[in-house]
Amino acid sequence: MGSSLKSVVLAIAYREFIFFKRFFSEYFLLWVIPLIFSLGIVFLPTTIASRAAVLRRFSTVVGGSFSFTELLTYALCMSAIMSLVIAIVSDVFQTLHQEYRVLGAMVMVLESTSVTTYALATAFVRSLIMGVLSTLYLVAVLPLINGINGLITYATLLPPIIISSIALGLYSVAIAIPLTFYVRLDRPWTVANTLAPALLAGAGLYIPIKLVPIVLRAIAYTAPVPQLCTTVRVVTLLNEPTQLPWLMALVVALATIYSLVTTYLGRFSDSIARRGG
Amino acid sequence: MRYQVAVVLVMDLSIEVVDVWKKYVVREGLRRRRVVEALRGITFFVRRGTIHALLGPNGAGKTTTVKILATLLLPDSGTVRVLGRDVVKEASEVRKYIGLVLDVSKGFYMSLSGYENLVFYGLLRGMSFSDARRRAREVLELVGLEGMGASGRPYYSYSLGMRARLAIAKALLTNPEVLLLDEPTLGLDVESARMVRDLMTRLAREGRTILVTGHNMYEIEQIANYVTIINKGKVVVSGSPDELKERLGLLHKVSIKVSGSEVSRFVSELRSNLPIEGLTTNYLGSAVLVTTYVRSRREDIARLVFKLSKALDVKVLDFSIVEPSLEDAYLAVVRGGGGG
Repeated sequence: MGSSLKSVVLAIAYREFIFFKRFFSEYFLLWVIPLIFSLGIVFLPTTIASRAAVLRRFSTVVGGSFSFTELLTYALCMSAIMSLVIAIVSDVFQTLHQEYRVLGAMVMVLESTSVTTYALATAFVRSLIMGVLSTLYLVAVLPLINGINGLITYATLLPPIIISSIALGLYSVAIAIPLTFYVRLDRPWTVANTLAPALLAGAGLYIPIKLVPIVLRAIAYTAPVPQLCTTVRVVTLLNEPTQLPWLMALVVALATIYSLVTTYLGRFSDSIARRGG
Repeated sequence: MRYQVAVVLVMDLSIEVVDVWKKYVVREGLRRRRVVEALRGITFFVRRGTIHALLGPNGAGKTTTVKILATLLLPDSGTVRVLGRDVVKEASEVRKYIGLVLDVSKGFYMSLSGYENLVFYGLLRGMSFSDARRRAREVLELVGLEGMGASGRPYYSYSLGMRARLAIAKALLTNPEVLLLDEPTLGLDVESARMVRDLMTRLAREGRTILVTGHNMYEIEQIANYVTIINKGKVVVSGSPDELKERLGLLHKVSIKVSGSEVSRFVSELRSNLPIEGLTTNYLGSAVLVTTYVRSRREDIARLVFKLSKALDVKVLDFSIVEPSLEDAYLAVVRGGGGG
């Protein structure tokens, strides 16, 4: 219906580029705060215990043995995952809601294409951009602390990060569409502001997911964040890359489900928007 | 109805709206729902290269009609065509030929500039990046935003007048043949409103078709070639502003200043030959000022006045016929309960 997918993708990419330029300071904060948090949660215990004790504690919790450099790599990667989840979930939800309910900018979209095409394109483009940008600093930092191995670690992690980011974008759109088109929320930002921390809290960032309380775990398993955390752990700490294809297959399967849900809901929403009421 | 359709088929039509019905379901709380009948079988036609005004009180169905024409809303039944293409079955084709202004106060991203919003819209509509940038500059220049130095400023800093100019720039970006403008001058200052009016007139002269809605009757009377008045979802009357006034048989205010010996006979002849509603005479020295309201065509009034003055040797010192305004016609229709 209407403009081609390529046109919609180009338009969204242009808009995201402008947004990124305009709000760079906000994105920068979004990277720095999780970085401080992640490094703090892993390394601040060294102020009250020895390095060896900290490493031993992590080894016991995660399983396997690893070096201090590997733990640092892990902490940096987890920080990137946190930024990525917050940026994708909040941005996708809030933008869609604002466009339709507040700004009226959805009229530009409805004049040009269908809600489904726009929602899917948003999920892909925005998540791809945010996925790459949120983890880009690892390109510089990982080789600094681990030489060529750091670069290899980043190269190994990048495809899973991109796939998971797109899956997360589709997940966010699948949540945002019903909350935008079917119900009227007085405080829509509450959903966006709650969802991302809930996903992160339940995903097992620094502990295995089986140790996370079941309610939080259940919430986290609706999104591909636990798989992404496991991927980071497998690549940076456990050195078991054979697990990667299975994890990614699971993420792709989730992404397919989210795409189907988004397509179905998008068609319904398009019809709601064009039927009025 | 069939006769009307047959007549207009031979004309050069841009917009055809035939027997269109539209209901909304308005949700009130979680369970209560209310059905609103926005359009109840409206039919009207817009000729190519004309400015056609769609008038009516709030809630009459104007915006619903514009949204259906713009493919933003689906009609429940009826046929709507833009340049011969069905807005339901050929929606993507229709979109290529229309430009839309829906709400001049919003519709853009707040943190993007006017220029960036237009480039985004151009890309969304399938333009290449270079074309979108070029056209954005051109239309911003056309609506005066470039000259105001506002094209690079974020949208949130725009005044209502600037927002309206940007909305029109957006509508013109793809160089459409048909423009659908829903209250484009609502809340604008005098200068901006005049700019919009002048632009509409210029665009119609270039051969574009403009369907405009609004509440400012003086403005509509200045620019519109045709008017359709709708009320409660039904077309009440349609035609050129002059035709409407004539068809509604609206009163002309006639003032005649006369002198001569046969003035009283002149007045009684006026009374007996014209459908007069109220007549007053004021003696101003040797002259008499006759003021009356006549339900008749202005040509007939003028012809009779000059015929009587000649026949009775009465000297006409001053003579004016004040035409009813479009606002008079509109109020006559709406207060008359048209459409109900």
